[in-house]
Amino acid sequence: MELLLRSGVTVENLLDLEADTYRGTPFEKSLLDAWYTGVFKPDGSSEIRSFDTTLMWRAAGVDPPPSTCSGGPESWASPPSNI
Amino acid sequence: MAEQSDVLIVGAGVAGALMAWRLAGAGARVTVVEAGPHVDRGAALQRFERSAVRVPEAPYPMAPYAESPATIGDSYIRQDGPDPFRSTYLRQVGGTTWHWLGTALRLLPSDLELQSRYGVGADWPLRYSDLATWYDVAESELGVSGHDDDMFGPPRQTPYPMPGLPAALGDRLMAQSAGRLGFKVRVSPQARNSQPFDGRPACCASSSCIPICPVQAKYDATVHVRKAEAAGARILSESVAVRVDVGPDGRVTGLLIRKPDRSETRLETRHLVIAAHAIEGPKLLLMSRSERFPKGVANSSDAVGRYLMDHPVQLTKALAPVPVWPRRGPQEVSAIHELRDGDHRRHHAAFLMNIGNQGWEWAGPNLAALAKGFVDAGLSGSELLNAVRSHASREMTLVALTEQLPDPVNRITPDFDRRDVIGVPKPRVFFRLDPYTATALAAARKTHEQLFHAIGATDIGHLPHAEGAGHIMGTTRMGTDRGKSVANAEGQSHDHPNLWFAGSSLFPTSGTVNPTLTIAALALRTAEAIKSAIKQ
Repeated sequence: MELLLRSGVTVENLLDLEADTYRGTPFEKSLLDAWYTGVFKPDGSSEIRSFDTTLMWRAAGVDPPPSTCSGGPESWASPPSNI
Repeated sequence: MAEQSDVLIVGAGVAGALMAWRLAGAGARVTVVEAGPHVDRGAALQRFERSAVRVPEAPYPMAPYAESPATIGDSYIRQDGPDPFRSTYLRQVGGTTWHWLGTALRLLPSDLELQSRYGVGADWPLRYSDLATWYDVAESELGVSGHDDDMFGPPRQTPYPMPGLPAALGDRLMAQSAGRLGFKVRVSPQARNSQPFDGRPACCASSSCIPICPVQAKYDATVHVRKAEAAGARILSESVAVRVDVGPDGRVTGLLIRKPDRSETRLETRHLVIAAHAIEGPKLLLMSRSERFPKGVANSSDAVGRYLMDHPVQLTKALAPVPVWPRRGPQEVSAIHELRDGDHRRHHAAFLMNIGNQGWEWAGPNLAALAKGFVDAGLSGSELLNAVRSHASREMTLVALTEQLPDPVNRITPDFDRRDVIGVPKPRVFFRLDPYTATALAAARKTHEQLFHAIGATDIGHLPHAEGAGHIMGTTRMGTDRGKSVANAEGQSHDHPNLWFAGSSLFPTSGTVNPTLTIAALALRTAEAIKSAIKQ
């Protein structure tokens, strides 16, 4: 699971994961959840294993994620340019 | 014989740091004691990113010898009242400015005259005109960006040190409709650099002001801790103040501090300043009780620890009709001020409505919970991406900060039955919201709904309880009535002429804006009074 988390997956890669191939098994859901949120849950515990590569930021137009510099004071006055 | 300072300051937050810098620069021998440790910004950032729950205190490891309240699962404050006291603070060098939002608004003249203008609360022992010059100095020191031509309140005497920041997209959407309801959206003045200032860079839009700015574009008190040290002040971190000593002539003689290994040292001083926030400061005075002072030091009025106030928060969330792309830039950029003042203050509290720019991170569900919810629902691929994007890009909040009247039953006392690892009593708090504030919270919910309906928002929902704003005020309040206050207008104790206070504990009333700029202005003003006292 951890190797998969760190495999460099992008939002664009996952766009191919459509309903005809995705069955929503618990494993698939936990993998998607981990890719999107960065939360990895070995043995029922909850740990953050990735932050800046977490897909939810990119999906939400927050790229780079919070706590990382992303531009100057004008940058939030217009929509994100990479969406 | 123990080394003597001219001025000994308890607390290395914004008030203590500014005073230390000012007084050391004037040639005084200044020592600052701070209960908590120094903080390494890089380590704090890493800790923030590893945190599963990114609450305001997430980047800062709590020192067991200098505990502070936790947002979730707090075991530090014992709650005695009918309403939970939800605000937190940090005990470390730089204090709570490490995770303040950075909004730097002034109080209104009427905020200082609540009793005489509206017949409720109390008047301050000084007027706005007494503070105006010090607000100017405070804005220069903290580095405030603001729009000179778009103020709510009295005209400014001097321009802001830096140009104002641009509005966020959500602010602009709200501004299109707010006018129909009689409101105006204004970009708030902020202690956040719009351009390089004082050796610190411009805001880089990291959108993590709370809990940590990665580049210190947002002011925090470590700026003036460093300046104070450069001016000759001595900073003693990991030094918990546990007792204030008073001599037979009624003058404070020194302070007992306890280190993490429980060793104790007595520091002597000509003047003592309590700048340890509105919980730890009064706790120290009340812990210093003795046969001679059974109610504690500086407490002939029995007002120490009483009149505790916050800005109870009404949080309302909604989905905008179009993307406004929050979570980029400061977490709040603009606000609506019209209900900060007016005749309604005779009947219910004033409130300031901030426009959130952090999605639903505070209102919930946060982004991680949102994404997990869609995954659990079976979404994948482009369906999942679009669902997250559509929701997250339209999340908005309105955040009302309501005024709270000074109520003597709202108080902090030391809990002598519950002590931390070095034997220091933890705080206990009695807190209740009165109808004056509760009515304003209801008015805020109604106004938030009107504003959101006006922009065509959907999914409007209110947080069912009042959140804490982290604006802890009023527990060593100043006043002219020695029987109901602890200090005079200069921040000087009524009981002990060389004991002074700095910080929001001095506030007789709360107004509706975060207290930091007023804390800074008052601290700079009190530093002048101490300078004069030292010369005498």
